[in-house]
Amino acid sequence: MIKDIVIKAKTIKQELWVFLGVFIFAFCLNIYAILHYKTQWKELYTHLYIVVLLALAIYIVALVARSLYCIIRRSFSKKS
Amino acid sequence: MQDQDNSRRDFIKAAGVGGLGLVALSSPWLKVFGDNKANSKAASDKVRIGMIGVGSRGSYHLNYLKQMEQTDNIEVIGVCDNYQPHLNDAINITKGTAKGYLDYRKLLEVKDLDGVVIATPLHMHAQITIDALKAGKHVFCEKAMAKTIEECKLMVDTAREKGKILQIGHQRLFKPTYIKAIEYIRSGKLGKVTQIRAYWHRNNDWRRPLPSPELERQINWRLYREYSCGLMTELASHHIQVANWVLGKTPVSVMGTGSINYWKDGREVEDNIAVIYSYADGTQFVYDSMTSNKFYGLEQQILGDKGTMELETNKMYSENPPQPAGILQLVNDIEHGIFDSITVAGASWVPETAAKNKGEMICLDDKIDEGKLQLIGLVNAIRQNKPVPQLMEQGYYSGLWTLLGQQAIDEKRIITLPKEYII
Repeated sequence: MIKDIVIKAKTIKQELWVFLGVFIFAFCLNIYAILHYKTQWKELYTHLYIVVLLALAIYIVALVARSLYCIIRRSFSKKS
Repeated sequence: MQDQDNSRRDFIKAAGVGGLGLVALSSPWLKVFGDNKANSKAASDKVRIGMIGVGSRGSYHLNYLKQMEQTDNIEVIGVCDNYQPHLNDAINITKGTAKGYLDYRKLLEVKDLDGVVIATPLHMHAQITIDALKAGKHVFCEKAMAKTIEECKLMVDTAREKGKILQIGHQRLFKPTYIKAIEYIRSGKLGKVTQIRAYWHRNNDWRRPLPSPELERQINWRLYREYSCGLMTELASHHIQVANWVLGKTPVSVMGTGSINYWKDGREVEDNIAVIYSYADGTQFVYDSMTSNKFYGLEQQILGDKGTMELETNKMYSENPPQPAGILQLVNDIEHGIFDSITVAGASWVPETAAKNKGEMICLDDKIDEGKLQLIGLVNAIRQNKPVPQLMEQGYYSGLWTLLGQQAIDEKRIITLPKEYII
């Protein structure tokens, strides 16, 4: 029998906070890049789509890492 | 089709009638599209054209002229060729409305003929042009202008004496990409232009199929010195004209070399050539052509200290292209940091290979047919009954320096222009 997966509101909220954190990190990277490569400040909004894509990429990588961590932790706790 | 024609004219009109604008100064012949004051013919009067030489190039012009019968109030009243199959084909293109002639002199006797388009083999250009001008007809003659510099001068002198139009078929003079490029160059966008390079590479024997062997010299006339100077007159003349136009002056000397090193099939003209033209300020035009490799095709490159133009492909490259956005550079650097191989020792020398940037288009509206535009220009000029500014001179100096380039190849020495040929 197929089991229903229930995603709690708490989990969604937590993931949104994680994504917000990642987005702020990517936005800060853009500021760093503008300063480092001496490019134009208008890139803060003209290249916002790159920042969003970068945030998504980092979020997905982080999601995979967190999932792996959870799986490993659960398997250890079952053994004990 | 009508809309397309209108947009073509609008573009040229916008480019050509600016009075003191850079385009008007660098391409003054474009005024022919803006000046509607007809001296000899009202727009309602038909311009009557005859075609002399209706082989491959001639039938190309004839097809345009037939289209223009619907849009430009002209009529092709006669077609002429001494090769009967070509003449028959031409009469078919006109659906029998044009009369066929085997002798061009008979066509020139037609009283209400206003002008002729000449697309014969090179060695016939001068005689037919001079006869047509003397018969009171305006002339459009295919490039290259003629086979000798004496003939070129005689053609110009006759046109001036008779007050008739003599236009040489350098269609790039009407191509929007080139017109825009010259405007940019004159405005300083490329900085100081110190070299122009051009090449035209093919990988074929340049032969046309023969219906019978005795027609070899008549059909493949480009391969024999009696009729043509081969790669110089049939191909290089285009790019020499553009080089002169870009620099706004003509060369002071030319050196060159050439040989038959691949197609040893009885031809008399070189199958590869390389020439260098020098201008008074030290600028060079370096040109080469070959027929045994087509990888690079054809191109004309204008090299300035601020940028480069590749005219045949409508591209312009800055010496200092704008750098990508900071975030993209950062991602790129991180990527290289992770994935590039680790070098044990730094490179002692990095090859200075060509810069790689995508550049930008010179002209956004490049889909305009300059082959037809030059004929529209001719018809406008005939209607106005006055020579088009600088157009004949462009054809003359291009033809002249093409032939001097061939002379440099033949005589293996640096050639300068004899003063009596300056017009």
